[in-house]
Amino acid sequence: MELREIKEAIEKIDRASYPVYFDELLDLAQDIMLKEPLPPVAEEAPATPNTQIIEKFGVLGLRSAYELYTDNEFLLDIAASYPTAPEEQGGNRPILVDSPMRIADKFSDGYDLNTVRRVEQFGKRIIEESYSLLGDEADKNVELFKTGTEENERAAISWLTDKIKSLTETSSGEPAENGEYDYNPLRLSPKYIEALGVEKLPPTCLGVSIIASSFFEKAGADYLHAGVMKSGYESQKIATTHALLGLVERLEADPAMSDMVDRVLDKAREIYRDAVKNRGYHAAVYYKGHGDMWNIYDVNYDSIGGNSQTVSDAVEDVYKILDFHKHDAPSLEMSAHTDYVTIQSIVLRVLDAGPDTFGFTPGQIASVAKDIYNHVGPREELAKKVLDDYLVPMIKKLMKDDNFSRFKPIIKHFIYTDYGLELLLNATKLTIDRQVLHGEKDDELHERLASDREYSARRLEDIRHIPAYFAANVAMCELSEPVLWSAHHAAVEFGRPHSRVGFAVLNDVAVNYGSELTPSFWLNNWGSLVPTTEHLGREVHTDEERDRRHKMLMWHFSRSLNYIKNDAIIEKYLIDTKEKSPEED
Amino acid sequence: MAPRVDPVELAKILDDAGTSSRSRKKILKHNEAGDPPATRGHGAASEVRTDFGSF
Repeated sequence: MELREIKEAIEKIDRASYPVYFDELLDLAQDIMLKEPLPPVAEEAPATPNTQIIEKFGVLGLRSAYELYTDNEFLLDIAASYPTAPEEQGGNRPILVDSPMRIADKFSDGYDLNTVRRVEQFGKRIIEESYSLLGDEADKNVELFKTGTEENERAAISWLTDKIKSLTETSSGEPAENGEYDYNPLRLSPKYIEALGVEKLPPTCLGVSIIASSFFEKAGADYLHAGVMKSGYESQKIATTHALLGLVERLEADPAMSDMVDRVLDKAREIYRDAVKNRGYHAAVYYKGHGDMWNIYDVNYDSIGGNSQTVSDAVEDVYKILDFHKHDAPSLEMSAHTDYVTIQSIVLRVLDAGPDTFGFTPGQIASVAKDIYNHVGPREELAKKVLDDYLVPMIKKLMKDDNFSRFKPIIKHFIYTDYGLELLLNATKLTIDRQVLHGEKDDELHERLASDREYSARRLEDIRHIPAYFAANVAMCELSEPVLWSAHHAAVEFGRPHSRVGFAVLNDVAVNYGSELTPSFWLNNWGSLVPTTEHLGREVHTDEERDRRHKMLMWHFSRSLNYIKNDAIIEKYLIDTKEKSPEED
Repeated sequence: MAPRVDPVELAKILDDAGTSSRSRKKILKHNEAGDPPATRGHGAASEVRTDFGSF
């Protein structure tokens, strides 16, 4: 028997063993989570017109087909840039470039609806049993929520938030000593949390999302369980990285700025690495409330309610698709940008627009240089003068620019409020101290300016770049201490609650306690992007399975709607293993 | 890393709940090993803002 045949035989055994492996995992998960074991799912899932297609392509195939044209411009650019390869070239076709169903064909090989229905049943039961953690006043507040009035809904949600906070206030929400978050799957279990108390088993983020789900479930509300792919803060960090790269582009045109370019690049790398750091997955809930608005509900991140109409509409679009497939693909998940404009993204636009839009004229350079060279006394006074006399007028001019006028309400927060002006002053101080004077004291500065012509010329170059430095510093300062508003999540994947909770809990049990289920099981049956990296370390036995997984990884790379940490994990995996698609061998 | 839950107390609760011996063994073993950093599964609990300074 050849090696290939042996591998295929192993895969067949694996596939045949799925029911056994799945039963083992579900038994363990039930023991951990549920007070009573689940009854058997009595009936086979009824077929729908879509059943055959979904069984062939898997639930992630279905998702990729839906998201191909809604996901990102990058993907469409790729599609446009490749010629469609002849059919006879088979596997040599570039992936992701022709039809949605062709893409689906590449990384999935089935969908076991009956198994998915058992996961749904498991998730539903966890949600129901978690309701008891909300205590005696829960029923009263569920009834209050159900009245549907804005005031009552707000009161009920406020009660729910206080209640959940009381369950988690002793949790390890703060970073542990090693800077990481710790985790124990028992912290998901309503029965063990009740038995041991929240002091010993405070619910994790997934636990909190399940408890919150139990409230909306009881109220009969429309709600979705969500995986946070990119938080608001992570979005700000990425935008800051891009803004710093925008600054680099400006500086690179000036050969004298090479040292500064290196410094800016180092900072950009530091922020990017922090943004993509693996901090585990995070779960949240979105519910439809008063006025049919979809609201975020995330106690861990203090993000409660208050989505814009645009975000609410995006969630509603996703909800409709998930609802359409509730019988034939209940574990389908769909993602949406829930982003908003940040000051960091405006800074990026400012830097991209160039010095004609946000830069000093030669006359201003001379004038600012005179102010700086002649200044004696506290630097804060100097910073305030530069800000008031030069930078604020430039910002006001920006608001009249057609390309920036739509950001006027945001920009006004910075120049017409005390807290906004304080941030601008800090950014100006940083600019003068760090980027223009490089930490020189007044005495040293004046001495060198008088004696060193080359030094004077370099300072003049730095002064020329003050507007760009200042803009980048505004992005940096706002990143540390936001002056606008609390950041809601920027990209989220949504699933129907019973299925998503069931799979998320099973996944956490599998990665913590071990499971024999291979990556294909998860990728075929759970429409989330979580399992792609969660089960990446598992061995696959055949070229076909390896190929499917490779295509899946490449699909991830092409997406903007992805878990922010996944790209780094996948990249490291591909480098470490030197894994290539068999087509590339 | 220390176990999160007192193993004796947890074992009693597992027994009271009628947990199967196979699951009991896995749960106690995992608890004994302590809490790993949440680089897998769902673990992010909140975000702490960092001051990145300037460049």
